[in-house]
Amino acid sequence: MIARAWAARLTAFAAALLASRLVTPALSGVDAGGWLDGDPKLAHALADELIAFERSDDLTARAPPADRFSGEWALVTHQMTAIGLAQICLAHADEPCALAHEVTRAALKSFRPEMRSFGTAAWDGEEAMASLKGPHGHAYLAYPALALGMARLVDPDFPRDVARQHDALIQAYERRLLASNTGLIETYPGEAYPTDVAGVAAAIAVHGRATHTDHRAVLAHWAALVKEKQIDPASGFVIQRMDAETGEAHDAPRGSGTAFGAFYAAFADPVVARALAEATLRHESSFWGFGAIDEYGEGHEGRGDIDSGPVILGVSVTATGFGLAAARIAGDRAAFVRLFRTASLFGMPATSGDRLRFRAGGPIGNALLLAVLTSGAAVAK
Amino acid sequence: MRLPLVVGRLAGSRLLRALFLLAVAEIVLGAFFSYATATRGLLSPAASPHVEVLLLGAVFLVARVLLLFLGPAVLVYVAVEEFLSR
Repeated sequence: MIARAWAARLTAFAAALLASRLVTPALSGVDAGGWLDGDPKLAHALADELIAFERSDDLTARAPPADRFSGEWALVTHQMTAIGLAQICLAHADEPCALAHEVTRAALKSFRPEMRSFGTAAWDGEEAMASLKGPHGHAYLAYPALALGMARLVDPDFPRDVARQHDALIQAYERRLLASNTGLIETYPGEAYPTDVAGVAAAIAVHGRATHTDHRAVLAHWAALVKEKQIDPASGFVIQRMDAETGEAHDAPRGSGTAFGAFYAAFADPVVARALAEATLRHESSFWGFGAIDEYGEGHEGRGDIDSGPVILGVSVTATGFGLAAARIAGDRAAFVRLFRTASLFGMPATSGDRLRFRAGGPIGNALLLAVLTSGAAVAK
Repeated sequence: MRLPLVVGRLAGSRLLRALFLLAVAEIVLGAFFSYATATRGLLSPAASPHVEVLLLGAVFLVARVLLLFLGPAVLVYVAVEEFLSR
């Protein structure tokens, strides 16, 4: 009788473990397939949340962000909103873009002078748009430049005066990048980030598509130097921060920069994008059907920062979030599902009416997830 | 004929009552967290934590993780154990 009771308990325990292993990941990743297959309901639900955020943001007074990090977050929120909304349109390029006005609204906000005041301050008052003929990189402005390019792709009524400024900015980036023998231009004095420069390449590529301008020479120059100078051979990760002139590493090879770089590179060069995406996915750690991306390459370790977000057990928030884009680039459905389960578990999604938001991320988290979860509609072929 | 008996006994299970309370707590905490994050994130744009939102988020996350991982396991454990031991 006792033996029978223990046998029942052991069998029940084994069944319970199996249930947890099968049901828990399935519940957490219930929408993964929908996102991967471009379910318009999901995309529009998150898009509606961000459109509502942009409208409420319009009602607040314009003021320069208090510091560099606040400025970067504000800029990235509007930029990624514009990119995500434009990607929804481009996924159905045969139809008129119902979100075109919203794309342009978010893109224009990312391009406001006060959004880049942190960069102006870092360059001792040198304003990026007032120094286009100068040698300084100001690569942070690639983020709004890409958003403007995406808006020009989908919005036939894009304002012409801003289009002229956008053309001039892309021309300056093209000249600076062609003059670089490392494939890098500076974001801030003495600081170049390969990820930001991948953003520059993405902005140039999308500008080419929106205006039918031939930027192939500069994109080939950038792609060759990424492979030659910016990728750590041991890990396949890009170095997070480097010297633009010498190519000297100022930081470790890291997952956050690589996964984010893969997202940007997809707009500009499919070979670089695939290399970065595959390196990202080689550093996936998985447990119980959930996946996450390591922050540091082999032989390196460190803590989290503004780029990576918290690093817990060696994996980071940013690398895992942008790992979703990497999985889409690499066509790795299983990795996408595992990473999505983690994003969903910790992002804590909630629906309200027709709107969807990830409660843990705030507007910037929602904007980033919209951009990566809809990525692929404007990639280089 | 065994099934109705099993269902009846399951309703009296302490494990299931605890799971039910956890589910209620998760729903309530989730509602509070939704309200708290409607206007503020876990972190300010300058990366300093909004402590009260962060604490609420942490408690909600613990409840959510426990429910997601233990919920299916407890349900299956109680049902299988009850079914086999009768």
